[in-house]
Amino acid sequence: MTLIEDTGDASFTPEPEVAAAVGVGAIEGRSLGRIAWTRFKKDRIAVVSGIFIILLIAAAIAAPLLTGLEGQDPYTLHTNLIDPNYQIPIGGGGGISGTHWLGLDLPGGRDLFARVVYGARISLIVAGGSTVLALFFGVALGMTAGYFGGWVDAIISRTMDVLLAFPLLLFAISLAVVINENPTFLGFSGLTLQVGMLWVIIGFFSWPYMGRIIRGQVLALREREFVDAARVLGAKPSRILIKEILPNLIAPIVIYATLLIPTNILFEAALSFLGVGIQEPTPSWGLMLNRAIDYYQSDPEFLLVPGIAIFLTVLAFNLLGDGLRDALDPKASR
Amino acid sequence: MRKKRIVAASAMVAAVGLTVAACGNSSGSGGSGGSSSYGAALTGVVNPSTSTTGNVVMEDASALASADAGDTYDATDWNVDRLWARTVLAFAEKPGKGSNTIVTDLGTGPGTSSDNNTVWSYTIRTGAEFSNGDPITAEDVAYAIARSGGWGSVITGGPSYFKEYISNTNSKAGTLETSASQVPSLLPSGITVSGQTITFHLSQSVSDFDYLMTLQETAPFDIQAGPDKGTSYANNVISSSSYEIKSYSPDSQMVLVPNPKYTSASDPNNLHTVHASTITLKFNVAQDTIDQDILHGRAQADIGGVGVDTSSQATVLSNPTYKEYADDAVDGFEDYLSLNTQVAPMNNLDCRQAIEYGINKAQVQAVAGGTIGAGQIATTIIPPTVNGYVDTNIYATAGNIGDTAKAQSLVASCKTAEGSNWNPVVNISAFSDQPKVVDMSNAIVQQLNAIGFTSSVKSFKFSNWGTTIGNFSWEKSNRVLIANAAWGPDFPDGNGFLQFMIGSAGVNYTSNASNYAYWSDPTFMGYLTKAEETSDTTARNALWATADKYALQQAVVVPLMDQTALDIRSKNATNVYFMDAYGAYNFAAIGASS
Repeated sequence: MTLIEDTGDASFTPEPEVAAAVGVGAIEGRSLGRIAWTRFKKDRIAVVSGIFIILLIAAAIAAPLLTGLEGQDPYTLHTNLIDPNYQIPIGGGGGISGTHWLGLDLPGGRDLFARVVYGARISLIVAGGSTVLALFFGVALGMTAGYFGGWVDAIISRTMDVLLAFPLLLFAISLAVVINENPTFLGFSGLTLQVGMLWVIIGFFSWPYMGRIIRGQVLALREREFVDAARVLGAKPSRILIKEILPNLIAPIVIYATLLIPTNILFEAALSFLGVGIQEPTPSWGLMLNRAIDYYQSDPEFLLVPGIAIFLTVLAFNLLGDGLRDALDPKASR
Repeated sequence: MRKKRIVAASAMVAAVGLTVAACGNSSGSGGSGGSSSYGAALTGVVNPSTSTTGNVVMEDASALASADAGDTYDATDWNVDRLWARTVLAFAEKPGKGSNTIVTDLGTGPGTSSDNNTVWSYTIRTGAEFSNGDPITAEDVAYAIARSGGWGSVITGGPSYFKEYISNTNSKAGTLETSASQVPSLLPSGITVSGQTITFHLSQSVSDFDYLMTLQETAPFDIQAGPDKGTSYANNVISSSSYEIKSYSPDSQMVLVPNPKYTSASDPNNLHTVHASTITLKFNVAQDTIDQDILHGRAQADIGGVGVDTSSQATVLSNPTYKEYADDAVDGFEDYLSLNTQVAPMNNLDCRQAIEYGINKAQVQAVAGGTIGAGQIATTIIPPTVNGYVDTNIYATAGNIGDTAKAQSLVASCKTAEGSNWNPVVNISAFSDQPKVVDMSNAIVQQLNAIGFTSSVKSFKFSNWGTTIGNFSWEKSNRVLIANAAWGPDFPDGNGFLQFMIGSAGVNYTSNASNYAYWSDPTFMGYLTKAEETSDTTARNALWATADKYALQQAVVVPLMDQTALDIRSKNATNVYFMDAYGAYNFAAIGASS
């Protein structure tokens, strides 16, 4: 990535005579951030995706408010609105009505709008937490491998290679099955256990993705003059890593974290879909797909709701990530 | 007995008294044989056939508990085991109610009793052979009962009725034999063998001992064939029936081929007629796959007997082609909640009765699949298909939706009585591999929270039941004071239903307790013992009804539903009919046309 020193708000005020002659006012230099922002703004699709994600996060945070508006909650059963023998909402159409904006689920008749909105919380929390874990380990180990080289790099890189080659879905499923056999595991149970387990499993398999990218960046950065300068001045490696190299990694971290989130959303949805992630009755988009697939012939609307939710969210994050990458680093090879 | 999955398997009640047909009835050809239609297999044979060829495939979402018939205690095993294990007496292989009659299999006639039903004798027929050519003797049957009937410590998977009823002073009873000559010394003192006759001396009067001779524990064990290998015998079972096990890998499949040593002369009731050239049982197949395989003719039946999932219910019922392959059967099992009677606050009657009033049974029924997929709402502990049933509803509420106000006031008085020891945490169990049970428990949690308890679901795999709800300290430390389970009768009478479900025989404070309420009440047991000693049918049934009512007044159990299962059969399956006695199709008779 091109290195542009962030010199802050550099402004240059010319002498009055020169200004009068040339006919300009104070010339403001633009910071990296502003350049990136201008470029980003021009990418309409990325901006729309960004707005969608902000709205999604807002909806997840304000979930109780939104469901309060509708007058429903994600757990109450409305079995009186379901035909239990044919397993279909009475009146068809997925049960969409003025009181149930997105219809009902089966077999309990729970409100789908409320479950989708609360499900957004789960998706974002699980994907967010596991991305943070992946970031932490990926950046720490990637920087260490890239900066120190030698056998440290060899060990870390081979570890990353092994993890990237792992049949991760198989391993994740086996681990989750073991954890779900009994109600408590290591003293945790219920939703805490499920979310914690997902953070660890997804984070454990995502960190090499970040680690390799960071390592590559650091390999290039450590040859720069400012790093030599700092070393000559007697700075310890830890200080160099944190004060000199890390700030230049902000851009790739932001980009690849944004691109990692949708992968992790899908990973959580897959595990919940297979029955080894989030368990009933907690709303999770993947778990809703698991239940909905069974009824796709009699009530396809139930399948469409979480499916479209996942699709739009993942698409938005991917487009946003692409937009950020274009804005922050137009010369990077795709 | 418990269900493997939420499946059927139960012996339904014989409305008629015990009758044993001596001979002459052929299996499966009663009723209106013929074409397939919705529910046809419940009362008649669908696609009757006398062919002896064909390759049958039957699938199971779970697996057999064991190929060793005596080491099993669930419906699926007891039904399919008849392919390789014959018992002394058996249920008639006829559709519907006709199967409640007991007929002879290896025995020559019903038991003869004396001394006020404390001595019973049975004669084993001559001419029957094991698959290795050894003749089947009375000693083989006696030893089979000794090793699995409850005295031993190795083969413990079956019910322990024999141990309970047969007197014994022999401390070596139940040990595994190492040679045939040893066997007489290993029998309980109450079992004696003379020629082909076995005599049982009982410790109490038992009027329906014939039912016990239909148990898989009476399937003969070939003592001439070398030492008893205990649990690993299941890997190489010697067949006594018309099929033998060609190959068996417990988690994947079993292949059965006709047993050349079986003769129809040794089977005058035609209970084990050869009807296929190979029978393959496939295990651990996903339920959805099983449903699709059956609908498309790749498999003939689902031996799990659960019926289709709530999900496929809609597909099957709304598609006329599929609907004609379906039968909605009352399987004789009951879904219920077992309330722990020993841990506070559940040891307080008010708290337990609050739950009886607080459960919205209509809602629970709806999430479990409605009347077709789940069954009728149950108001008594003994289901309608078992002798001793009387239609009453002690905790009646309009529409079975429960009475929240009444429940709340009962909880309030319980809370006052508990004082500072009040602990509102009352959790409920669920089998994580049974989606219907999980849904039911989640619905019940909301109902419990609404009446004043603090509840959540603790789930675990069904196969772990013995160390969870079957373990008192586990229930106590996890505060899982409500167990959500299904129960079916071992025999179609009150005793066969209640004994191990809420009787003291089911209480075990170490592990594998089947009485999840840990309730041991002398008054209740008094009713059961008296019923067992009574010969008059009406009086007996009345005693069981009284026991049922007493247990409900003590709020030991909340009956939820009398289960039905929507079973399906494939279009190329032959000889398909529902046996009320097993609450499922007769898996030992199903053949396949191409």
